[in-house]
Amino acid sequence: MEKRVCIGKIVAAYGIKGEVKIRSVNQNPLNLDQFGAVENADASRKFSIKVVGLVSTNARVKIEGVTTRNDAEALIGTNLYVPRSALPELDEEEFYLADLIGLKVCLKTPENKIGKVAAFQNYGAGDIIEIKLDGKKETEMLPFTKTYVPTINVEEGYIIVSSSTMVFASDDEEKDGI
Amino acid sequence: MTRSVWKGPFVDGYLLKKADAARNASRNEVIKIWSRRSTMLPQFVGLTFGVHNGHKFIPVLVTEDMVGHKFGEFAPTRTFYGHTKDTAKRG
Repeated sequence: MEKRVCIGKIVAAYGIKGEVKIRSVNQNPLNLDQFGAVENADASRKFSIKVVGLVSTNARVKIEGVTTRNDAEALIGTNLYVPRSALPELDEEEFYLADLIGLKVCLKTPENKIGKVAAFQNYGAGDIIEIKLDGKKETEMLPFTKTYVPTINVEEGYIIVSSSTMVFASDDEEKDGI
Repeated sequence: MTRSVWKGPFVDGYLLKKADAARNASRNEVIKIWSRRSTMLPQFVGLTFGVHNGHKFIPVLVTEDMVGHKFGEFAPTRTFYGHTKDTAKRG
């Protein structure tokens, strides 16, 4: 089965004519309808969608065949997926985060594997890469910047990090000197 | 003048020292802080802080549009895993 990417989630109904609000994971929510038909998590239903406008940061979307508010409310909570191949090509030094999850994480050289990419987080202060280190239960977080992640090779399936943990300015310093 | 403007932004004093030291060192080190209550100042822009969330340090790269916010806003302390479905049958 072809790899799919989640592009958003139906979070609410909008109005009485069957429109819904979709929380998009795209940079631009207005682009949601540019990937063709979308489908739900188990691919049992396909939806043809058209973006009508924006409601705050969510896209206001009309779904073909959904004409009443009751129909729209029944879809709340549905995650929407598109095939990976439907996503546009990227420039150099641009990546889809979905492509990076699961890649091998190597320390400084490609031979020195230390774990794999578990997830990406963004709490509002830039992307954070979450790494599952081999032999450890907990994950390690690093800023997703050129300093910490200098090399990304999706074709060969690895990324290189400059350090397995965050390098703190003064590790031996007492807790804030309080 | 409103009281909050008159009082000015709050920053724990040692943060300024740490930020100065990190900037002078010009290495890309993360500044470990527990002070979630401190306001981000313009001189912090470009630095990366590790803000403690009670469990671990969350990397926070300060950018211009974050000035005026508190560090704690960018290191959530709770994880919401969603509600479980109510499967109990109601009679």
